[in-house]
Amino acid sequence: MIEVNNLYYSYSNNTEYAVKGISFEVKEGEVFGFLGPNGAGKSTTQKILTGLLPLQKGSARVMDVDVSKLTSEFYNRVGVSFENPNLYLKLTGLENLEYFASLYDVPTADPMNLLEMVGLKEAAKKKAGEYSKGMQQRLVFARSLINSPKIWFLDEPVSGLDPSTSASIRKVIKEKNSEGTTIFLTTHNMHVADELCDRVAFIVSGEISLIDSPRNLKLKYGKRLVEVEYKANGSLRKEKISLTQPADRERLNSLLNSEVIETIHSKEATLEEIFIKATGEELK
Amino acid sequence: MRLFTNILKEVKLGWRSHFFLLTVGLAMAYFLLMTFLLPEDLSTNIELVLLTENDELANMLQLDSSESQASISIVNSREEMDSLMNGRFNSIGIIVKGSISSPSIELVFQGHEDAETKEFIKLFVATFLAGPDVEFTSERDIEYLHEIQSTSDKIPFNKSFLPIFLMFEAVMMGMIMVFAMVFSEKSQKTLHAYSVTPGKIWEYLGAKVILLALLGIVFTFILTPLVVGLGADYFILIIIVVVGSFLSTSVSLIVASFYKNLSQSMAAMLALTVVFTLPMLSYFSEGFSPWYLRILPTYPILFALKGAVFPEFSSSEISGLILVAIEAAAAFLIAVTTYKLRLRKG
Repeated sequence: MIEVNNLYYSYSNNTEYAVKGISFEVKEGEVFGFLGPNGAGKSTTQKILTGLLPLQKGSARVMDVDVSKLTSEFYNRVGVSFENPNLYLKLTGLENLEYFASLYDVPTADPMNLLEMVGLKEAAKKKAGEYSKGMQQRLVFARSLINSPKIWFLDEPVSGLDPSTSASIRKVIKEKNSEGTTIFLTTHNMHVADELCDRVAFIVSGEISLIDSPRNLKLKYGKRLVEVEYKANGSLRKEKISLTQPADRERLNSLLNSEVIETIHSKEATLEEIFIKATGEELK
Repeated sequence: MRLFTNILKEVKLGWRSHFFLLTVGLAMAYFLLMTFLLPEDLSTNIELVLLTENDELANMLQLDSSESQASISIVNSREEMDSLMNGRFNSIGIIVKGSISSPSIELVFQGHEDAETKEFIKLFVATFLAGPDVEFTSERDIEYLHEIQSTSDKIPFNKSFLPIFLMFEAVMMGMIMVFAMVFSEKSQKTLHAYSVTPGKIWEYLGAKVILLALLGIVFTFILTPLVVGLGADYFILIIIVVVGSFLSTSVSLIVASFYKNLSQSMAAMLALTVVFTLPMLSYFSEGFSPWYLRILPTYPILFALKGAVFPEFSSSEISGLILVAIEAAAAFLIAVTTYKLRLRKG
């Protein structure tokens, strides 16, 4: 679905590259996470793939179309959700969606249904300028679905949203993916990536440091431990027990059989910890 | 279809940004300005209003006035003089008492005359009374190389501003408003959202050009009938306003694309406005039309507007508009290319 080979990009058209020779591919129906701190080159890559920045060096194809030769036909099959809400603030939420729906040559979704899906049905006739930032973000998210895209570019789709709204947006992403939509997700939120992505790429300073599935990364970089809290002789005790050492496994069985267990937590590494371990950088 | 929905969107945004209200308000303001603040006549021809006890002097003056640039009205009372002078900007009253050999003169001024004018009138009266042998310069001694259409002088001074105001607002309204629209959309980054749809840039910009031409037509159809009634050639007027608006909007789109916000672009916007309004010099001083004014696209627009607004006084040279239309189309193509390039630069 997406093939990127040795892609470079410089904003100043010199050797100061924002993106430095990255290569990756995204398969059809996959949710691919592009993870990295601010300024890592995530948005630059997405802008090149959607035609908002010119292809300078390397090659990139999306749905078998060279991104330097994008046509109307291409945009009929692509959805893009921007991180910063870019809406007509003097148009209502409904008018914004109706206007963008009118730009496509393919059948479009019912704007009212989309608004309902992102919880904006009640605010449909309110001007977008009167929306909160979270509401505007949800409207941008809904707009990117107006043409029922085959490939969907999402730039920080849950950034700044409250937990409940964030959960509903993540649910929509999962639903669309289950319907066959390929998703290119740009984020620095590792929990979102962990939950949604089939594979993730870590990008730092314009370079991809690794690409794999969150599960494989956890197995590779994490420790297989559980942390057990139990009560013994009236006091609360805590132990970390390996799941791979035979002696530790026996100890775990013994605790489960003889003590009052309060909590058990698996201590696998989080994607964030793996990111820091793999790249030496913290996510900001 | 996409062009239509873009136009619809622009009209909604224009309406909610009060562009239509502003247009109607400006048209009314210009009408009030022309009606109540600008005088109908600002010519230097002086109208004398004479009140005299002596019929012989009155007859003499009436006879002489046929060869003079000054017109003379004879009145019979001070009240009649005040009534006549009230509302005649250039009139000056002369009250002559006593005999022709020993007259007593009282001059009645409007109050706005400068010292030179007052001295001139005093001298004129004194010279006239000095005797019939004094020769005054006559138009018979002047040979004009180019005959100026005598009727063109009859456009009232205040109404002569109509083509100027139409050019300022109907034709060049696009300039200021386009800058406001472009920078508002730049801050909202809506063009990025549009760029990832099948919509074309020419449709996006074309809708703005059409909105501003529409506002220009609204302005024209409010102000022109209020000032000249149904006497204008409205069909030609629409063509001129549309072509002129197309040009000024397209040029402004190009210029606006190079700046990030309104304050950065202020100098360029003002420079563009000044350059485009320079043909006004030729309008008010018909003998002054050097090549650097004639090559400006607003030059043929201004004179075509004059012809369309006052068809009985001057012919509308709309042939010059063909070149303006070609220039406008070229400017629009450049604007589309510029937006495509600048958009792809992020």
